[in-house]
Amino acid sequence: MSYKVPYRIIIICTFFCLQQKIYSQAVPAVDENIPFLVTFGGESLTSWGDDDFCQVFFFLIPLDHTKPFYIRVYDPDTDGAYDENKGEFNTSVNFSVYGGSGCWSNDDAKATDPVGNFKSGILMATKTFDNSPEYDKNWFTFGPFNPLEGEFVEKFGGRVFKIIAQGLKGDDGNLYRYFLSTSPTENKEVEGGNVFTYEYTFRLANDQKHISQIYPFVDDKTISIQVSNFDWDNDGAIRIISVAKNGVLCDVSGEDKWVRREFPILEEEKNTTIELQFVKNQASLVKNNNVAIVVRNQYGETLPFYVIPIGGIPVYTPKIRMEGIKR
Amino acid sequence: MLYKISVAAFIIFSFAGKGKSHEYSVNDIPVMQKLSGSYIYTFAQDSGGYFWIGTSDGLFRFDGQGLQQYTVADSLADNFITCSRAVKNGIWFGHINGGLTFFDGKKFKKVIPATNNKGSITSIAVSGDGTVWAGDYNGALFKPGAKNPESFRFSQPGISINSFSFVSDSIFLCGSLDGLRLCKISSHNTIEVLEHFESVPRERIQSVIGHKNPHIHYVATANSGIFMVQTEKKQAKVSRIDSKSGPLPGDIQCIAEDRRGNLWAATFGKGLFKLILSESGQVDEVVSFEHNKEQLPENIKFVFCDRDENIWAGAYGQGVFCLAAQTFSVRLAHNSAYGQNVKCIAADSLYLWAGTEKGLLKMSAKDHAVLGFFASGQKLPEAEISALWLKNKYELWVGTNGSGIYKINLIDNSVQNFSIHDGMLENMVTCLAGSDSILWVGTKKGACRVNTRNKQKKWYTIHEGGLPHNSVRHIYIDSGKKVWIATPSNSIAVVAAGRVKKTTISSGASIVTIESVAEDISGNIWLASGGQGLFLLQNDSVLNLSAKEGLYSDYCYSLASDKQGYIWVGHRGGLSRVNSTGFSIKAVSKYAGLDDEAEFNPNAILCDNSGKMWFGFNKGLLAYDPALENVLFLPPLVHLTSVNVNNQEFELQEKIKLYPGRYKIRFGFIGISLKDPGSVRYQYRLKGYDIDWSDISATNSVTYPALTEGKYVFEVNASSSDGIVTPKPARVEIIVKAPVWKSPWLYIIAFAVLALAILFYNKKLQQKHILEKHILEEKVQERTLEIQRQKDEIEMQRDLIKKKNTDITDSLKYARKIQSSIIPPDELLEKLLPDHFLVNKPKDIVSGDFCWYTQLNEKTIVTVADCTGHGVPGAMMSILGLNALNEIVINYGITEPSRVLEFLRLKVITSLSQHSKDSPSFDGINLGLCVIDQQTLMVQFSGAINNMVHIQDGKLNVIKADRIPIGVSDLEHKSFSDIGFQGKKGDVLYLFTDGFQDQFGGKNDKKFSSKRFLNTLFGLHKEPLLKQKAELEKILSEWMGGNEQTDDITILGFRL
Repeated sequence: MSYKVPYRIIIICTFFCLQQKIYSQAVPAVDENIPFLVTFGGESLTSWGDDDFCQVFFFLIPLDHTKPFYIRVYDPDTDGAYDENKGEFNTSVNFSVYGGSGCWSNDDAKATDPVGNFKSGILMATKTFDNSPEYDKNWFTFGPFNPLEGEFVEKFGGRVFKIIAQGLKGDDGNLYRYFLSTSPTENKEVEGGNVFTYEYTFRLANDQKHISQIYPFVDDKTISIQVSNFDWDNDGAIRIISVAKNGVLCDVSGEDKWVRREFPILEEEKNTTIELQFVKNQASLVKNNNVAIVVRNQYGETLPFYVIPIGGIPVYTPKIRMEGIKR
Repeated sequence: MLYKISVAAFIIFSFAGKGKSHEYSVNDIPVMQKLSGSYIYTFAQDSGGYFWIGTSDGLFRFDGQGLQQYTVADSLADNFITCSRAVKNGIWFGHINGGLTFFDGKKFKKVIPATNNKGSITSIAVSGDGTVWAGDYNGALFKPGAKNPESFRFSQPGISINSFSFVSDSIFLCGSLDGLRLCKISSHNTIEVLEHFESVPRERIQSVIGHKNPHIHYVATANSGIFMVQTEKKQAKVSRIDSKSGPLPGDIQCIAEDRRGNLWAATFGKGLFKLILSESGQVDEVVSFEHNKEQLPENIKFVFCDRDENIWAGAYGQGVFCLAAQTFSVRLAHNSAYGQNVKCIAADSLYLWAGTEKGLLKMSAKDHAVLGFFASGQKLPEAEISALWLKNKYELWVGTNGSGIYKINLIDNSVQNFSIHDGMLENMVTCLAGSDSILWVGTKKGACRVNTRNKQKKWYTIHEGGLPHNSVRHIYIDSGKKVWIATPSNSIAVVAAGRVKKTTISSGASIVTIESVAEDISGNIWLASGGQGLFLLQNDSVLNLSAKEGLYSDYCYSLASDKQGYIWVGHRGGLSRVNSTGFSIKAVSKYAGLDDEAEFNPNAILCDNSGKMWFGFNKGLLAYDPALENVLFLPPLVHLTSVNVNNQEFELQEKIKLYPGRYKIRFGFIGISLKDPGSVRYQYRLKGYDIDWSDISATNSVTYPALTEGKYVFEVNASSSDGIVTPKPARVEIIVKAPVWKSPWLYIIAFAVLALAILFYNKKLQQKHILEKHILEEKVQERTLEIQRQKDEIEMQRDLIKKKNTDITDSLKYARKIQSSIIPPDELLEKLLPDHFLVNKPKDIVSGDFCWYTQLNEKTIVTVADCTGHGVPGAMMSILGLNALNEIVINYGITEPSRVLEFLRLKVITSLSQHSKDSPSFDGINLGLCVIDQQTLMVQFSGAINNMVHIQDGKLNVIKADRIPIGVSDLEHKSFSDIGFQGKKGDVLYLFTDGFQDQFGGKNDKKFSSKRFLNTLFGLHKEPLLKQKAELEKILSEWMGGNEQTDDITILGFRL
């Protein structure tokens, strides 16, 4: 079994008006079979797998949720069994929560690179973790937060908060998870809550049998999917599975290179869920493989990777009338 | 919320461990705190649903929400109420002072029996004929409803009446201090004792009550038990009902029967008891409520069952308590050994299975006793138990969150793993469903159909089979064996005959997260969603019910149908019960003893064989027993409580009439339901104002801000928490009179008055016209006479004028004769100028123009002259001129034209004395004189103003006259000139006056003009002269048209 140096694979998926379902506020979601999110220290080399040492996630609180909520981070420190060391653990990663106007709507906030005013909004909580054993394999809770302090976004039907995980010093990889919770001490979902990002950087499982997947929803406006990957370097395959595609392979790139592949969306695939599978190399185990996904539309604008449409379209509602009982 | 039940208040009561548990909870009614220290003596509920509480310190009325107190100030006979009885038309209260009070629904009326020896009223009963009787401690009986309530007394003294109940119209059972008697009311106001029962101990009888069977009565002694008295065929048979169980401990104060035929006993010292009777009327089971002294005190004076089956206990010095049978109960609460978070449930007729965070629990379906426990990490894996399928009484299938599925052999309790896949997500089981030997396993990565006999497997995923999504939330097999697979998608997948078909729930790009599927008793499929409420799939449409329609929440986690036609939905914090046909929804939370922390787990819901519902949630297992619900499902009793008009309360009546005006009217109403008053809902309308019924709401009042004239009927319906609606709405009619000026009769009167006025006016006008007509006629007559007179005068004058005119005309005619006689005869002209024409048209009768001619020395002298003016003046000048010419030419023989004119001028001046200062006349003559030598045809001309025209060889020459008139002028010193020329045969000469040229006429009413005249002459000169005359006359006539002749016209034309 050979071990590959961890590297960054950036897969860019471009969707036109794609939407993805999330059915819990755990990030990564359980059914994705993705163990962790990953962010490297600020002194790392990009060849280790993180090109910007920064990961931005957005949490959406529905309008009807008015009670306090919490953002919980699992294993926020960079140390211990899960995190990826390069030599001694020497990394600090800062987690900051933002709310207020502009925390999402600012263009820099939605960009994939952490430049400009990507820390837009109002800073509500922040904490830097280095090798803190009390948080190793444990949860840290930010909050409580008042939902009204988020940025109201009408098209989402709720208020948005932002959390930025940014590698400061060091060159190790921090692996962690998020949970949007109504309780500070246990993971209890916010009903109707949602989590999304424009660049999703995660660690694949170190088990060749495990297949990770994401489930974007293809609406009727989607014309094609653009999947780009960077420095995948032969760790298995990326496949697309749908009602019309039986595991169509995506082109994979070599070291430090970008490869992009476009897939047209057929009529029968519109308004359905497709599965984007990440299948590990079966011949040789590649450990500590990180994947990043970016969504762009045809104009180069990033689109949220998963958005849960809040509400549905009830078809009709009966008019309930009191009628006396005829005895 | 008025009624509050906390989970801690759930009490499971049992007696000696025998029989089943009976679950009641003590309702916390905050308003009852007011009576916390009161001595309660009696309860009653009137026909309107109001609950009455009689205490030693006043009377109280409870409507489910508020408590109102009444005292002697409200016309009570006394503040100490000892007993009560509800009748059809009101309610009676007995008092300690021997008086009674009747409430008719609106006001109280005191009844004080006219007797000296008044005892405390101990009991009120109704005889078979409907007569109300009251008995007192001193043994007297009254008919309080009578006009003069006389007392009936026992023929034997010393018999008290503690409690009594009628067997017939006049026979009653009387409970006294010394036992039970059968009595009869006789005439003469006496009571006859028919029998003093020996089998009933001779001790104080606390209570005698009737049964729904009129031949059965129950009698409670203080310490010696409860008896049943059967009175049939004029015989009374007494038997103990508690022979088996023995007498109740404690001092019985009161007994009451509930709607299910159970007896309730209130005791001093031992609290409250429930006696469950068998069909034979014997006590089958006694349930004590003594165990929890914090909830119910030990000294209960009175017990009562209301129409909603609440049990009311009146404590002695400790107020009021209300017990309600708990339809919901919680198992496993606080039981940490077996776990508490129930994630899945399965049941059959024998056992109930619950998967918790600690393992798998097996309980008895009958009494829910724990029979076994499979702890996680021992026979079963560590992974959480997430799903159960009870295949039959031999096999139970268990799904785990991460370790796949296991089969438990229920005979030997062996556990066996059943592998379906190696993958991690494929072993995260979310649900199990099965039919016969086919098991469906829902996982986080697809659904697997397993044949449990031959172990064949078939997977369904996005690609394999075409599931909408790999993550399966729920699998449900309906009565038609179709397999419904719920996934986070906008369509639900159905597997039938091995093929997956998808039904879209919502269109477009939105996604409905389907969490659970269920089928109702009609076979309709319901879907529970996470965020959009419930969906019902109908033939051609999808119905959606959400929190807006009453669902507890739009986030639904579990779904099941019960056997009563309801759909149950589990939410976070509560449940919803949906009527699957009428879609009315009851949100259940506090009513079931739940709080916000309760979280119902996905698909942990079940309806067992007995019809009981089971819900798994994070605090245990919640059971719902529909059998404990009020079987009658009574609607609330709705009343109007107030009508407030412009901030003033109006007495409630059927019809309220208001004077004309604009009113703000507020209606207050209440639906009385003592079962769950906080869940009563209302719907109202004001007929005559509202188009339709209002939306259903909990608000119990409505204001109409501006009602004006009209007839209105306000109606209000109320519904209970079960959706049962009052059969007839409460109503009140409001009539706002129209202002006088809007009333129809006023319009009629006004119209009539107007019509009369118009008629009167017309009449007056007519009369006036007639009068004026008279006046006018008189005037006309007058004028006519005047006119006639004037006419006569005018006619006379006309005749005179006519005569004078005739005379004048005759004179003129004669003058013309004279003039004509002076003018040379026509024959001479014929002779002198054979080829000639003469147009002579005088304007008047006599003319100012003349034509004179003569011959002398073979010379023809001819002239055409125009004397000043026309008519008589011109004629007179013409006479002068003619005479002068005759003299000058004929007498003097002057033929030189210019000399003729000279002499003529001299003559005229002299004759008219025109040089005189006083000369009256400046008249003159214009003429043209021509002398023709007949031999040589030499022509000489001289003219005074008037020219001559000479046409020779087609050339027209105007021989110009001197511009010197014959008469006085500034030029009279000038001489006339002669113009001579050689004429030749065929030449045409014209002499004329200016009358033709000056004639007005034509299109533009202008003068003919000299130019046109010359052209006319030239145009005619070749014609024969007579024709020329005719033409000239025609042209003149045409030119004149309708115009008057302007002047005398004379034209002489001749050819040489």
